[in-house]
Amino acid sequence: MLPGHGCLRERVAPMKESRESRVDGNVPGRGSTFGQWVPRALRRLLTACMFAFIFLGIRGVAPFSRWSLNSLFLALVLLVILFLRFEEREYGAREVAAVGALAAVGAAGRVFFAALPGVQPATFLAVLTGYAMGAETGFLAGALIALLSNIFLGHGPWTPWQMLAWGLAGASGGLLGAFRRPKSLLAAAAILVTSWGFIFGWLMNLWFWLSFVYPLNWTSYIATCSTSFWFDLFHAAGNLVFVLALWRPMAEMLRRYRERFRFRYLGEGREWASSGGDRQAREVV
Amino acid sequence: MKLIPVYRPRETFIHGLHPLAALALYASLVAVVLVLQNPLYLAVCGLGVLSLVLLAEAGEECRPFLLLGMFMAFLVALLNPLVNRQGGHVLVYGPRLPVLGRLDVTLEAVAYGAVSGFRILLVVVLFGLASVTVSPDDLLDILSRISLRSSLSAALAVRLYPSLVVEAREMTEVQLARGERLRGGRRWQRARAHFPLWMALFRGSLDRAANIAEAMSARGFGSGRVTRRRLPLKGRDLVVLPLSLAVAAAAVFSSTGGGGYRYFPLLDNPLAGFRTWATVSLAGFFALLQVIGRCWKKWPWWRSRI
Repeated sequence: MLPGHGCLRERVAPMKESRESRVDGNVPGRGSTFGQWVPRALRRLLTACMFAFIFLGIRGVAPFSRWSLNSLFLALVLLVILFLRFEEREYGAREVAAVGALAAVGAAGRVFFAALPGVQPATFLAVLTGYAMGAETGFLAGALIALLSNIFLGHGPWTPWQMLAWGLAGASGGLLGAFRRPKSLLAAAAILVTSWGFIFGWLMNLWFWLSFVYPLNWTSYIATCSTSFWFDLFHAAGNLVFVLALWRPMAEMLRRYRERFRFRYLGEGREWASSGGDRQAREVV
Repeated sequence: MKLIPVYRPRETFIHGLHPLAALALYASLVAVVLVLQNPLYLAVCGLGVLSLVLLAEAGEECRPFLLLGMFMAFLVALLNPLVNRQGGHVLVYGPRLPVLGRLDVTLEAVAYGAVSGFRILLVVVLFGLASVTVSPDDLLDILSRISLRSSLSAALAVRLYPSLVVEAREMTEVQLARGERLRGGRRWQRARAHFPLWMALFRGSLDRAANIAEAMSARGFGSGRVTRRRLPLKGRDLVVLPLSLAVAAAAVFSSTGGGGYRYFPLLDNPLAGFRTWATVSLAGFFALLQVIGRCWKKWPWWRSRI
């Protein structure tokens, strides 16, 4: 046992005891920006408003039928809702710091590859984060990669849509948790990340199509998507290369990062047990 | 790699606005540009946006956004006549294509494409102006009121990004000194040589994240907000904020029923739907900003008062 460990355990144990369900080593926050219930209430209110807005827009009720404005507004509202959801979950320092670091890497990668149209590791990193750290963390990392990289590349009407698209890419990474065998996981990751090369382009075309193209039908949407086909193809090809070259080592690094902080409290009078080894657990305690 | 944000601090009225007022101004103008259909109103908006760029002394910084907006405007102007079959005046009878159908180009579709192109140009320039005049720190401050944790992550990312870039440069120099082919050679070989570099950077950033997480825990992260940076609203913000919202609301509600202008099936006369009071209000809004901004720049006493 490390010196002073028992003393620290006594101080920390009562707080952990009431929250035994948490096994990831994060101490949940006891306060938030608006208190405990305001983010939840605000999120529900915004969700209701968003659906009402969509309903009125589809019914053609003025002024909600202006899809040029609606699309931008709805993208922003959806982002706020998902950010509020992240706030409600009360993530600990580990996730907050990891998301910041991953967003910085993704933004640096995007800025580094800015000269190559379509090719950048942001989509790959977002999906990887979603796989390794959960769908919600993946969403946040993807959204922040877009926000941060555009601080250096310049914001535009595309920023909320990029945040949404990369956020969804990150969230979809959570689906890969169902694959256990390494080979099938790599194949599934390659398919998912490569597909996101095109899906990202189609989502980005959506605001362009809704705002500046008339009439809104399948023909005009396909024509809009055809203008970005080569960019999407390069994006997808780049994603595939990133997955094949970097997925395994980077996923392993993220797994170790998670394991480094994992521990489980078994109750009073017993030792802390961690999934990664007692030594690491004691370091955290 | 780019290390400096697009934002440039300057001593101008636009830069001096509270981030909330600045965001309200830009969001309102984007809403106005997106909902108004009459080309004459859009021309007034165009002149207004130009006056704002000049007021912010951000012509040089906005040039890349202008070029990008022009490219997108060209794309919109090209795409609309190809997909739109509506309109009474056919200019060109084109061939029949598999997905697009018959490529008849009408005068109305060309006009709609041109106006939509101008609209996207204005929107891109407005977002560009927001990028160069609103500080990213202030932007994150606004985000922190909605979501503290995500804004903290973003702030950490902003702080980590420059050190990551510097580290990447140093590692590149070391790799080059060791004879790695990071420059020259085929693209694939260069990319392959870069992969170990990326791995090392990724590993280093995770280590840094672990250290930060421990430091945050040690400093009591999760026990509630202990500090908050307060940016007070000043007189200029109290003028710009409500006026911007009023202009946007007026534009949205006056645009019901086509914004007084229809492109299809035949082009309306722009002067027919032109309302003098609306034009005067819109131009007056931009003129008021100019007057306040110029006085703000010229007279320190006025600056201290608002």
